[in-house]
Amino acid sequence: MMSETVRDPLTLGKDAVGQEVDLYFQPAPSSSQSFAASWILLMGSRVDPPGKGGLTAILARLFSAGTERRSKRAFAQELDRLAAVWSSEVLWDSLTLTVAGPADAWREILSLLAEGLQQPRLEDREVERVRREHQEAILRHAAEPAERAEKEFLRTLFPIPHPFHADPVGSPESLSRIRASDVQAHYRRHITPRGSRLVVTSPENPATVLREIQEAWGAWTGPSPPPPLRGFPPPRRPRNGLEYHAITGTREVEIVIGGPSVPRSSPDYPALVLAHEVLGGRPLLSRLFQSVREREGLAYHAGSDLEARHFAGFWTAEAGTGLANLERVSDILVQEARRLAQSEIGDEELRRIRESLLSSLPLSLESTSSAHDLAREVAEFDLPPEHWRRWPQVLRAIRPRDIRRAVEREWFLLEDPLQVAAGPPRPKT
Amino acid sequence: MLQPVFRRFEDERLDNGLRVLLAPVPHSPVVSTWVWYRVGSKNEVPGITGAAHWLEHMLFKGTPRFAPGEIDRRVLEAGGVLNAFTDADFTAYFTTLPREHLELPLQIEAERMTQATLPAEELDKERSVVLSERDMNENHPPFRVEEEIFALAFHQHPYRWDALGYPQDIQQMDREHLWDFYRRYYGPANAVLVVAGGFDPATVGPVIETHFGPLPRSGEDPRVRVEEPPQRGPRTSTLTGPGSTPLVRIGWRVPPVEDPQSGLFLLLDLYLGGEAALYPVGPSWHRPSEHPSARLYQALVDTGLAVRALSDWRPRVHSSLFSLWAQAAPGRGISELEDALLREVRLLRERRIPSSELRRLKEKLVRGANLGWEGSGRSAFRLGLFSALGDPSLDHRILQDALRATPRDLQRAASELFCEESQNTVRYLVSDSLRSKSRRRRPPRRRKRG
Repeated sequence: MMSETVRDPLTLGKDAVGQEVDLYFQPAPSSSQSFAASWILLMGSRVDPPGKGGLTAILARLFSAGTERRSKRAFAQELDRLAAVWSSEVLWDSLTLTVAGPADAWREILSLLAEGLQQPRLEDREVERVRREHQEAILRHAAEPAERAEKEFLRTLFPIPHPFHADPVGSPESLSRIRASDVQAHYRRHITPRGSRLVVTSPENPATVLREIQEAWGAWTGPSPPPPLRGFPPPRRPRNGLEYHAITGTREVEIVIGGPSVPRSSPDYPALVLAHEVLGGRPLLSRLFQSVREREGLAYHAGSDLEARHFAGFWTAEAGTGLANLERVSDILVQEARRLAQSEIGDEELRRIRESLLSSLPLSLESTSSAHDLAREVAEFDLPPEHWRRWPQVLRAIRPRDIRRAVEREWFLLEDPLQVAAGPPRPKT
Repeated sequence: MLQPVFRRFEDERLDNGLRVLLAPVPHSPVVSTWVWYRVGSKNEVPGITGAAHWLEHMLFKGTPRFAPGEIDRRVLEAGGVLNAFTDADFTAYFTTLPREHLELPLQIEAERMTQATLPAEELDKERSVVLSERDMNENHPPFRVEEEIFALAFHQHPYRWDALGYPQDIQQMDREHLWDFYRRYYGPANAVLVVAGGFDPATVGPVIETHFGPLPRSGEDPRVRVEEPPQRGPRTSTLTGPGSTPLVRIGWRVPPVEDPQSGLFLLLDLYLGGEAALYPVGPSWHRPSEHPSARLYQALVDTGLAVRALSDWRPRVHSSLFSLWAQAAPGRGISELEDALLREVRLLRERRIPSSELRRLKEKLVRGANLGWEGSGRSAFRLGLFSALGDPSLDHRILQDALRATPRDLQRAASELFCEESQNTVRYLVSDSLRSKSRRRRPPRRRKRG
């Protein structure tokens, strides 16, 4: 239960609202003057009907495009009046709506979130507009090397119908099949308070916020949430060598290498976080940044990523470089990834990376925005409310051999990762 | 009417000319330290374009007390973040870290100001890195369009090239070019130190004096004497390249930021595009990519012509550009976009914005500006930006001028700004090779029989 004594942004209060909405309350940092609220539902593009990929992504954009009470323009003007911003995010297994603004307008901001979510208009012309925008985004991503390499990496590694295979935005063909009636039916079928999470970061008294939320959210009802995802096909073993996608007129090559990994709930996750930070996650200090940029001057950016969702995950190492350095850079990415399993990380290197990561936590506690991101992660992955308070202790208990074992066990294809690149056409040899 | 708030700060000048702005943020656990040099790509000349930016990279490569890589390592180990950026008018270096490490960035910045070593062995590696950064930007059509529109609008003034410089110049420059640039422009007389966050100014002042006080006065006046001659007619340029759909950007020359009309340009930017770059709406994250209440959005996006339509007023020390840009919806042509953008500026010249609309704009502006003080980093950025553009008081003056504006003032400003004689248009077309590839992917159409 939430109490008035919860004043630490690293320790969340948790309560239930109405029909199975979990409320996570985070006190805003004391130097902050703003407020943020996110509503999270564990559905995402995985529930798009066959042949209609991109349906959830279209729906997500329509929650702020007019409600039963207000036209799209009036809704936008109200957000403007409050200096509030609205955003939506659709991943393979989650839908998140976030609204944020000045702390003194928190009641109106929360009320707008409830209104947009519970009474959207879902008009034909707005469906058309978002469809056009997503069609353009798909074309743009195909023509930009970084986006293209990442999307081709996922398409190659994960076969249909693995959720990672499909772009949450959909494809030109699937978007062309979606009608406003599909969006309205999708809303009725999937948008529900049940099993959803509401995350609030506010300087207000938690009991006051809870009362307000009970009023606006308590009577909202909806269908059952979709069951957890199970039974998708295993990743593919890649063919040897580099898969290259030529885009005429581009200048830089973007390279992505990597393989499948485990979901966020894996007990190995904290060790894998440290592996990723050592490989390419910690800005400026990581092995990839040091070897690719600082020692060899081969690229402007080089780093790694660790995606761990509810159902599965993947690891990647990436860099952007010129055509002349393509093979050298992809070799370094592969070698550095393999090195994590070949030898243990030195104690001093691990200490440096880990302490840099942990001592940056106060930076997240200065503004509502960064503190709210921490709270969202707790809510989305059902972490304990005091997760971030305990996090330093968890990471400090991990030894170099734990990381090596975790990488060997859970970073698949480490010896022979999939390698994908996109950029200007290569000269014929 | 809602009134803008301003963060209180102390403003001092050391004997060597360094301006110091101290802005305590009560209860903040962090401190953000910025040094702004009033030098950027405007201080380059043909042949050394990109020098200011390359030099910015090299200033992370060591000083007598910090070996190459040590600046990064020390700050990151203290739990901080650091970076730098180069613009036409300024170059800024910043570090944000837990407040107990406040002295570290002051040590680093004092050394970097006059004692960077620019080691020769690091120079070629960093040359490749800045070329790679440029190539990465060139992968994005909006960068190509931006570079082109400044080249089109400016024939004499150094604003005609981008801060990333021309690749040919970066290829042929050597250490002496960067060293000359550094010796000439870097120094306390040309810099503003801004510290914002959880500290007590009474205790920080002496620490700053210890590190920066002994530095000799240096740093040449960075004002540029070149004046861009008046434009005598519309100019147009067409680019082709990879991308999704055509894009158009139309820009007009605006006076320098010191001009009394800047408050009006700020409102025009907000009215047309929905966001003023100087005072972004809402908190610093999840920034909206669309502004349905804005005029261009309603005229181009709501009507199905474009997928995005925005305005861009970037105040600069010298005469710069106010521009509008739009990206076509799939299947729509570039001339439709251009016509629609020009129709909107014609309407602004012919009709006054309703008073109720102007009131809403002002409210949005003030609320956004007030939230712009949240966090040490944003506070230091805002104080430093206005200082680098002229003086921190510009912030107050521009906002107050905007709040005094009437519909008639805006109509007059629009009439003077959007004149055909100083119009510059860049059209970006998606290259045929890409379109033909897309076509090949579709299954062939069957011809109907009979």
